[in-house]
Amino acid sequence: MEQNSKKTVRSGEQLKKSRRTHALVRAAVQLVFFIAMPGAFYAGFAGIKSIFGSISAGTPIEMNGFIWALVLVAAFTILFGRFFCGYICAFGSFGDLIHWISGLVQIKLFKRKKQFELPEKASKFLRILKYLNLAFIVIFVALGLYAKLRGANAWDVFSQLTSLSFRFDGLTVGIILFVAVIALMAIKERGFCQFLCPLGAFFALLPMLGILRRDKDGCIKGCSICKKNCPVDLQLEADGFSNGECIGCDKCAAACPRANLAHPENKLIKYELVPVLIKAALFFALGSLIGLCRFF
Amino acid sequence: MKNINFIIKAISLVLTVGVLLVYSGFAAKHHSSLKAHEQAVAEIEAHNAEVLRKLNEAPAGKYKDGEYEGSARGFRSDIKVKVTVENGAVSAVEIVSADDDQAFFDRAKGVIDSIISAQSTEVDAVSGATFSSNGIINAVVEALKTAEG
Ligand code: SF4
Ligand code: SF4
Ligand code: SF4
Repeated sequence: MEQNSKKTVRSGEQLKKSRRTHALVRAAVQLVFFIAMPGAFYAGFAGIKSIFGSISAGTPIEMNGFIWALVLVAAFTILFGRFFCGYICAFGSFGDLIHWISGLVQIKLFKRKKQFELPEKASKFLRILKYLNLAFIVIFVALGLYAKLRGANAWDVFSQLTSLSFRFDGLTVGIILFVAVIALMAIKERGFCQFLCPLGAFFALLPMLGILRRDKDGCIKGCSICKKNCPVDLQLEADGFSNGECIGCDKCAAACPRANLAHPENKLIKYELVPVLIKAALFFALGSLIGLCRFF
Repeated sequence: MKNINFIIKAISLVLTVGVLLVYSGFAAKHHSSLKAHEQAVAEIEAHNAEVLRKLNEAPAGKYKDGEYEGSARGFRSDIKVKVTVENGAVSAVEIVSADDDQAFFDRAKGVIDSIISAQSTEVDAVSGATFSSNGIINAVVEALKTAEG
């Protein structure tokens, strides 16, 4: 395409600034949602469990608060890509925090040059686990066996923490898993999201309209900066099946020297961070409406 | 073909939602006839119990009539309930106060129906809202302790 070859190349200084601003805005949005809606992912996934629970009981699917939460996060993902995962989900944000701390420890304390990175091959293989996890949970719920697993998951422990409730009786297995998940997220950025999250597996199977698009023709030959900056080791395709794995963090877009990765709405609004804030505000409003906000 | 992955995913989504809606429609029909049947049975049983009570001149249930309060720990807060006992049976459970997250708590309230229709606190907690619903169950247990004759 003609226009692409004219696209400006961002200088090193500009890129540094772009990445910095993006990281700050993203962290700020994540913090707000971590404080205000720490239960959103839990409620969304409870929606999936609720559907299969109804099927297991042979009763009609009732539109309870959990299913509304599921509809909200799914609709958001279809419209905007996994914006929910990238900016809103408290568990994902928690993972980012752990990975950041882990990086500081590795570099400052152990004087490593670079933070440890899991080989791409291993990640690609481990990704499959989350689909198995989703299938496993859904089948257990449908067979009416899920109640037996109560407390044996990391999310129950996390929600006790975020709700400042601190009741850990009956959560021993959960605590062990929670510690394991923390270790995983320290080794691999968003390791839980990529390898284990059942809600993430569901998201990855959704059609996404507003996912980032890479304008391949406008790319610098042989460049793979976006892939190097991506926690999921992705170089987005025009319509690749694994695009669903993209957790919507927008890190690649902020790092591309050609500004060659954009959401459809970026064509309407020049400044990339404005749509981010609009999407966040929209989720906040709708989430509060269905009772996800702990303050309203 | 362009956008083939998107199209496949979109079609699967539409099919899944469609199947769930069809299922729900059938289940609703089945469920309402089942409910009607259950209600008829319940009415007959209530009538029988009433007749027996009149014959024996003694209360039918093990609880004394009246209103009782009880509280127990929920997810984030203490849940306080008011239990109404009529003709020896639990006829209503009202939440007096609770401060659990709304989405979870609304869902947890489902156990109230279970308790009333089972006339027992040995009911399953609502999945996804286990802490809140167990809180309600335990609060009812506390309230009924004071109702025992
Ligand atoms: S993949 Fe799961 S845990 Fe990770 S951000 Fe998405 S919903 Fe949250
Ligand atoms: S960073 Fe990615 S999108 Fe940008 S020019 Fe390089 S390969 Fe293309
Ligand atoms: S860096 Fe990777 S995960 Fe993040 S938005 Fe880009 S492709 Fe998606």
